[in-house]
Amino acid sequence: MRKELLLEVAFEKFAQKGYNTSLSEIAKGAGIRKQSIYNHFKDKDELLYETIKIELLSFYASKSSEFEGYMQGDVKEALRAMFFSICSYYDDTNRLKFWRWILLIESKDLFTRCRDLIREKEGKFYSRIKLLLERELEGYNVNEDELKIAVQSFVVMIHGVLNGMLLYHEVYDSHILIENTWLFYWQSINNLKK
Amino acid sequence: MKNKLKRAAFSLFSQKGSSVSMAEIAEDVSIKKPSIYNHYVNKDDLLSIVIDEEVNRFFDTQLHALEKSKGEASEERLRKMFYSIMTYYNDYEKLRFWRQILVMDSDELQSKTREIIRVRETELYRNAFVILGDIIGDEEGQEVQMAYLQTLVALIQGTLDGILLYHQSFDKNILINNVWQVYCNSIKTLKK
Repeated sequence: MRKELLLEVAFEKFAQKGYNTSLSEIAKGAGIRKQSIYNHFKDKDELLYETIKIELLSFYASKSSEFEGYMQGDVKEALRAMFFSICSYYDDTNRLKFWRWILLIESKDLFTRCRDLIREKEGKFYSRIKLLLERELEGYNVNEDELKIAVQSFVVMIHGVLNGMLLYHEVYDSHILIENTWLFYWQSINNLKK
Repeated sequence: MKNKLKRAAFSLFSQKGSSVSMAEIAEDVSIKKPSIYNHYVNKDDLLSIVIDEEVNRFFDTQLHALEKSKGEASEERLRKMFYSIMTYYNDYEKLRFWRQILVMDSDELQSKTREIIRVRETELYRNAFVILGDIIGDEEGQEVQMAYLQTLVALIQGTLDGILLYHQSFDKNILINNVWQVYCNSIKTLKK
């Protein structure tokens, strides 16, 4: 109970202030004494790691089962659905900021742990995109490097869209940005069919 | 003293973001905290000046580089712009600095900064838009041109994210070159 509340508050605070949030603030938000946090977590890094892990795992788990269903269908539709699904996951600015803060964690140890977890989870996601692209490009003269780059640019593109969303939210409709970048991406895949 | 303070604020903001304290900045330049207030009204005042200067410096540099490449082929100019932006972010401290801007905690500072960025960005992108139009040709229409510009920006920002996440554990130049290659190839197809 207490622990769950702490994790919820830690999520909010981390989204707001990143690694600089303090245990006192989190304790205050949860309405307990700072000292009591230590009954559940060894230190700030431990609490933040748990918080981040929960968010990462829940994101990858939900996307993974969603994407599973796309694997057999039309490749263009599948990739498009994945692209849009990931981008709109971050429509919630708080959530988007949370993920942005992960990139800026000051504690080297915590940063590395989070990065490794992302790398591991991202790996599965990468192989899915690769499988889809292989299917789409079968019979064309596409080498391993080109394929790798095509997978990489899918991810790069999404990250770029997320930054745009952060800078321009409230100003313009992010769906136009998502649509435009998606069209570009698909165009670049078609370019490989030489 | 003002320059020393700004330099320290830049570094610490890049490291910690907007929750950096005046005490930390004072400590970094070995003065007493109250002395900062001889120079700046408050933390937001100091940070906003530092951010303002860096944002303007960045855009001035990029616009200047574009100016210099005038007369060269449009594709080459666009390539130079891409690599010039990447070169600027080669400095990890600067990359963090810009990312911190996007997640700042102070609403007032946040919206003020986003406003400056948008204004200056428009200036730079207006130039890039013209160059792109020159490469792609008029028949494609402004919407396509706009989409290509947005994509270029997204690719640049996405690449920077990759660098942030994997810095020191991979060769960023490979990523940068790959991204440019993808973009460049797409433009070439449009041209045909």
